[in-house]
Amino acid sequence: MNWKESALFHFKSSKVELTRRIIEPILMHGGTYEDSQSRIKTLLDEGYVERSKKNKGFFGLTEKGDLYITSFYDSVVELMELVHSRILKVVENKKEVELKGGITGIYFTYTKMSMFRFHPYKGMEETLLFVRLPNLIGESINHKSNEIYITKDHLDRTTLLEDVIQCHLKMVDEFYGKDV
Amino acid sequence: MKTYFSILFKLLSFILYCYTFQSSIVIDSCLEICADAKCIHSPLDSLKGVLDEYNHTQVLLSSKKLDSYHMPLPGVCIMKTLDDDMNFNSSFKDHIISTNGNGVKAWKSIFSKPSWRTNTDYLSKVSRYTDEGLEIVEEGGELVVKQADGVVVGKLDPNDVYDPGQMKVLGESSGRHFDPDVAGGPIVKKSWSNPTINQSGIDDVSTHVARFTDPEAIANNNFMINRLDAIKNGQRVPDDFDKRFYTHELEEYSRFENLGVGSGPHTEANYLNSHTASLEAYSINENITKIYPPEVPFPQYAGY
Repeated sequence: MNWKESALFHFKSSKVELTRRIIEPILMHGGTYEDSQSRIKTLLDEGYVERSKKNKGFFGLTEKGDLYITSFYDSVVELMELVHSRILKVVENKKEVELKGGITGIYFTYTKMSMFRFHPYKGMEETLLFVRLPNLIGESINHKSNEIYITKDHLDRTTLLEDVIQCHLKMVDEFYGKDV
Repeated sequence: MKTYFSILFKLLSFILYCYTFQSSIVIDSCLEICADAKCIHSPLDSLKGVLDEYNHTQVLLSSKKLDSYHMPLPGVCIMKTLDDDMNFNSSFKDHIISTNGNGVKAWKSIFSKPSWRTNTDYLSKVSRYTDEGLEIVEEGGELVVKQADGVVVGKLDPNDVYDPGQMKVLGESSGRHFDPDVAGGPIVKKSWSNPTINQSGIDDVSTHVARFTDPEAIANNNFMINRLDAIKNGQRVPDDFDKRFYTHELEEYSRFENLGVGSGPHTEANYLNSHTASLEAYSINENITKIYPPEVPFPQYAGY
């Protein structure tokens, strides 16, 4: 997702007007405060986003913005609902696991220190599932080392998601000595 | 020739007088001198009327500035500029007259920015800043805002896209726009590098961040609080993200309390001003140094 898609997606998924506190870091998108300033200006000038008429300091999606992001948003909803139900089946027997989040991302912690995350990702041609697994290898800063991307087609045809989660749960058990 | 010497004599006498006695009489004398020297082109009566309104302000009283302000050269007289600004902009004129001197002080402090100095919203904000003890000084073409203790807060800047038309301070360290006079106290410079992470502090952080109820913020903050718990229990060595998060949230909480919103509802402005002031206190620029690590559940909400 580029910054524009990311921002419009969050507007669409939140279903309410967003404050600057929320939208500003999303619009930074790995960049700077100044990037955020110029990007909100672009969204406003190009008519994707508008200032709230009721609440000062709030912003909402325009019809144009809604039209721009709806197709991707719908594909994400479909994907994340599927993912949620499948993860739920994997962890339903683990009482300590509480599945949280929504279409912007699903996550659960297994032991306090290990987190499984599942986010939608916009690939070149289709919506992908981005999986961020607990890093049991080295420093947390090496967060790139446990990322995988799965297409919906691959999810539908395989048990890759379940296999990956099961395997990693087992690794966490070994790593932390089942101290959950 | 006789008239010329008369004007020159009056001018020299006046400057000598000003260096000797700095008093309200200077205004009248200055008017006379300027009028004689044809420094003021617009009707003297209207200017004098305005001068009476701002009642002995210091605009013209600094004898040291008389040379630059009141030499008999067209266009360099500050009184003429003020008069021109008022004639050009009636709302500005009304503002100057109604603010009984404060408007002129603000006008003077942003004098070097012609497009700002007649904007009554800007003038009101600048007056508010100076009333709260902030000082505005020109440095390198910028209008720098300083606290009474000399701490540089930032520079005046009206270009916050999120909040258009508002004069604010662009923070010295954070590079963010804010209103330092309503940020829960002055900026006291501190270091985040060696905090003592204890239960009391974690409780305060938890209380503070609980006010942010969007699911992604809850997830990110819980993630960080879990790490703080682990540090307190000796299960984790704090990294720089832990230290910055802990110190930043405590500072922000303290500012919320000072603003009277330690608990209960707060405004977006409460958050934005306190957040930026907290960044300033610890000299953090989020473009370079993040508060949250990239492994939080929702890194995109932390600027990644």
